[in-house]
Amino acid sequence: MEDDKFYELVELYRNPEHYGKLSKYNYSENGYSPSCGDKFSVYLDVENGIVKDASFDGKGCVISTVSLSKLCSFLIGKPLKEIEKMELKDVESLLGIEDISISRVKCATVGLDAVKKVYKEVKGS
Amino acid sequence: MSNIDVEKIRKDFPILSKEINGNKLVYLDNAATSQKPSTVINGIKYFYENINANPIRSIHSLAEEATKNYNEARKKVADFINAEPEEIVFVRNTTEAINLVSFSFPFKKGDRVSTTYMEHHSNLLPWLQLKEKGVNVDIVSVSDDYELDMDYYKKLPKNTRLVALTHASNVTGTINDIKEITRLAHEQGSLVLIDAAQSVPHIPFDIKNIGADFVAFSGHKMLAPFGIGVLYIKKDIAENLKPFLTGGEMIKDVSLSKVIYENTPNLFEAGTQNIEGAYGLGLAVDYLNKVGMENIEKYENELTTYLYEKAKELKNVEVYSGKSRRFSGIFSFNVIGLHSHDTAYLLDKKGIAVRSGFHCAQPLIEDRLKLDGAARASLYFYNTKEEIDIFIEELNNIAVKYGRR
Repeated sequence: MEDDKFYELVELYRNPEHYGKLSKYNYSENGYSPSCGDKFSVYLDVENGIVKDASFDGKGCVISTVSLSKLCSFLIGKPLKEIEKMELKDVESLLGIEDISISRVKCATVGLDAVKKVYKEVKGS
Repeated sequence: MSNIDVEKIRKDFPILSKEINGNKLVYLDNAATSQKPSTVINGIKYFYENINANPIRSIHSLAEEATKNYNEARKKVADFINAEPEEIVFVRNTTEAINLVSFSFPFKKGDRVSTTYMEHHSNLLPWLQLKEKGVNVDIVSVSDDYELDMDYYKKLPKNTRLVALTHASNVTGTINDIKEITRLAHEQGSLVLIDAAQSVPHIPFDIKNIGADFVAFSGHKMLAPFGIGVLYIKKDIAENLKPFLTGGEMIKDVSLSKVIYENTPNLFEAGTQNIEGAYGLGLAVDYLNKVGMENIEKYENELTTYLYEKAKELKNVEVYSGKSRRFSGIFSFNVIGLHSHDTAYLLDKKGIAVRSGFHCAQPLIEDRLKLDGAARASLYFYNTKEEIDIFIEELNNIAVKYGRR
């Protein structure tokens, strides 16, 4: 990753969009990345399968925080089902970076995994 | 000045001349694992080309050779910490050593065991698991200076059977007074287990002087290969322990109605062991002896002092260090406003290897230090002042660019 790109992500990390618990949500899940100590919760307001609103809180590194923030932006207004086919490379494109290193994969996917858990829950209900 | 010719030593460690991301490697992750000298690396090849056979049981010449070398490795490790060979049990690592004790120790319902707030998870979870058996677990508190509450040890709760603690914290570098704690515990009828993973590689360690009953450490943090570790069990105590793993080579006689077990250490070494690893550990001990543990301790103290002095110049950097740190060479820190992972990432781009995250000591970092992680540089005797200069310079660059109050 170029220094400028990283600097840009750090700026987003300092004031992430969609940070903080939603006042109204019907689904919530936790995500962990134990090696880094990332610990997040995602909150989703889902109506008729559509994500009306999404947010997250918790603590983690630049990669995990920004990817959660971008994931929330991406999901709002879309069918939750979209998450089903999303994978690491989709998070990478949300972040605007390529080839995330092995040790950071869990950071990048902590939000993805949490939202997938929500989707399973919604689908099962 | 210490008696260490560091440039000569560095030539013995091939990996230290490697380049990382276009920069010379500055390896400051020694508390996670040490690098290996050529004598150990080549020794493993030599083992498979000249010694390899299943020791102890087979009686052919090659197996005898393997047995002889396995026993010699045990003797070398015993001498290294001033123990007897039969007090040395080979295990995989510190984690396995402590799990062995927590499983094999004759705890009864209502017994107490203590561990501390500054432990690696390996000296915490095996004890917490005992709660299921009705054993009470005390967690000794840590002060704002990252020191243990000594008052606890002066008056142990009734029924305390075992006191477990680390010699040196892998996060704050705090050195605990294990000799005094052992004396206090013995006076009150409790045994003592020391996690020495961060101390045995760095200082002369004399178990007879310390007096503890169990000592656990890992080979890979002291120049040896992965997968070989040591559990010291004081003579006579092993008799009261039940076997951990059962199976091959840990028995004297087996029928379907009765099993007569071997004596320690074989009793605790079920199945074919990591002979290559033990042999490598023996070679690692040879290397450390050649350099001299007193020289290593002295040199690392100089390096650590130099690092902490240089770090005083840094702005936007927080340092988490125990008062009593000396030999452990541990420097935990954060660039304010940056997650430790991101700090480690930025250092890595310059070839500097440090650890980040919880260091397997989540209760200490999260509950006690109130952090979501820390970065850690940890030294060994092949590190140099020039490497510390490089590290401090790059850390300063990161702190200036990204640090925020």
